[in-house]
Amino acid sequence: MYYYLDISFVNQDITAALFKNHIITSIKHVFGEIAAAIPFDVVKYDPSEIRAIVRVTQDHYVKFRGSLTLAGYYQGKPCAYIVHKVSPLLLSLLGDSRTYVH
Amino acid sequence: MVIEINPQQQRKDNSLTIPSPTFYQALLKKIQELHGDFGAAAIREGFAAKYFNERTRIAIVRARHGPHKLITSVLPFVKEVDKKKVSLVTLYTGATMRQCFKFILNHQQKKINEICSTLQSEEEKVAIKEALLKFNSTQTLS
Amino acid sequence: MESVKGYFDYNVTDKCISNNFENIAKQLYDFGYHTIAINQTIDESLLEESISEGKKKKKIERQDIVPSPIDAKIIKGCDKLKILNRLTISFTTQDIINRIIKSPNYRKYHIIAAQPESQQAFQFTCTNFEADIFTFNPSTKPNYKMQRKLYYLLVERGVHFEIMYGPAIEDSTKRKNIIATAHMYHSFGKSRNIIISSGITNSFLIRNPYDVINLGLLFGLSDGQAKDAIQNNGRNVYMHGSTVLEFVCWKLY
Repeated sequence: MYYYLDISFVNQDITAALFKNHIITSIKHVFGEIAAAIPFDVVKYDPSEIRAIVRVTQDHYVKFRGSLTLAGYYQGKPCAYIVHKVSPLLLSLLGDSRTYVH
Repeated sequence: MVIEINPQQQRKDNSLTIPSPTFYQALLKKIQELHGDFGAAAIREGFAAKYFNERTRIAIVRARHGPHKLITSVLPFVKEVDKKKVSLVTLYTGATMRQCFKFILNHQQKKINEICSTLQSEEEKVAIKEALLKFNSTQTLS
Repeated sequence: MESVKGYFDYNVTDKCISNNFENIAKQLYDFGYHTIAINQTIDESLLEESISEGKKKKKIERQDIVPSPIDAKIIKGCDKLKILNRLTISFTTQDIINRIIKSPNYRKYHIIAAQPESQQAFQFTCTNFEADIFTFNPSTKPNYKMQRKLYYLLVERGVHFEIMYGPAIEDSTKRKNIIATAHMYHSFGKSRNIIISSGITNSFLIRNPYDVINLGLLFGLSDGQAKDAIQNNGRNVYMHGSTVLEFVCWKLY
């Protein structure tokens, strides 16, 4: 079972590889080496908006999201991860009952 | 939760002197590496190196009930304490100090029996028993 | 009695406010925090300063050591954002408390938070002091020993325990202290009456309410407790704050 997260990164433009690397470093800082091995995939990456869809297994979801929240700095500059939507179903990231305009 | 550890040095044979604070620090550092800030913070409450015997190299470490799993998972990875190479063996996990001491007594007893089976003179058997049980100075084995 | 709604964020520091209040308030509102409290801290260094100044003058002119609450103007587009004023008192002995309570500015604050720094101060907050929130300083390890009895004493009086997530984002030692204190609350008090607030000093540290709920899980709270921490318990704090204020007003008139 996977969870799909729609996240964007607020600071500067970075490539997909650096993005994934930074997430792994944040997890390592907060939760250590053992957790840094959490298998997650960047399913889609939009470099212009710095927005990505990331997939994590259900077991590791809490730690993953916690370390995204607690990630404070990227190369000395303050940064933030904003999680827009989360869902176990990829399609529902497109739209859901909260944001749907009737 | 109380964990019992038997450190064995690679080079020397007997009597390992590690002051409790350094052992505590070494464990804390390892947990910081492996489990991060979260692990280090979770175990800090109630974490103490309670007992350490130089002769038999047995130590008791105390931790709270939930985070004790973090510590048991980290122990196999500890390679160095106080700049000496060390490998740790977890002997027993118990809930109270009394149970741990009971276990240590049994453990010592078994060891003595093993050693005594290879020896012949009664006197030396008794002497070794006393030496290990009372944690006095070491006797040379003939 | 005015009603409050939305997610609560009880600790927006005054440093944050002085720079760019509109921006930050708008961001908080967009994220979903409809009730926020602007926090001002006073500690014992202010008391010493005013004493030394008092000695120089011949007449004893008591300066008001409590700063007046920051006036928050209504921001365009955020009409529903409710802004409260909160005062955090950091103290080691109870002498400063008497002076603070007598000052006229004290009554203008909606919420009072106590931040004891010593065992004696901790005992005092549990027994006598009328606070709404119980805080701690994340930069240092707590100087006092928490006990189950005292925790429940505070719970009965309606005091809520605050955990800040802002410092956890910035700094590793603060993060460790915060998580350790959160786990301590869990082991001593089963995480009852806990609120999570931001304690932010700049706009990068604001996080989604859902992210904050997830952080609550990390702090040892259960699912329901984590959601309560920013919602229902926040409302309880407001209720507690406003009733105490009314009681004090009744006392005076």
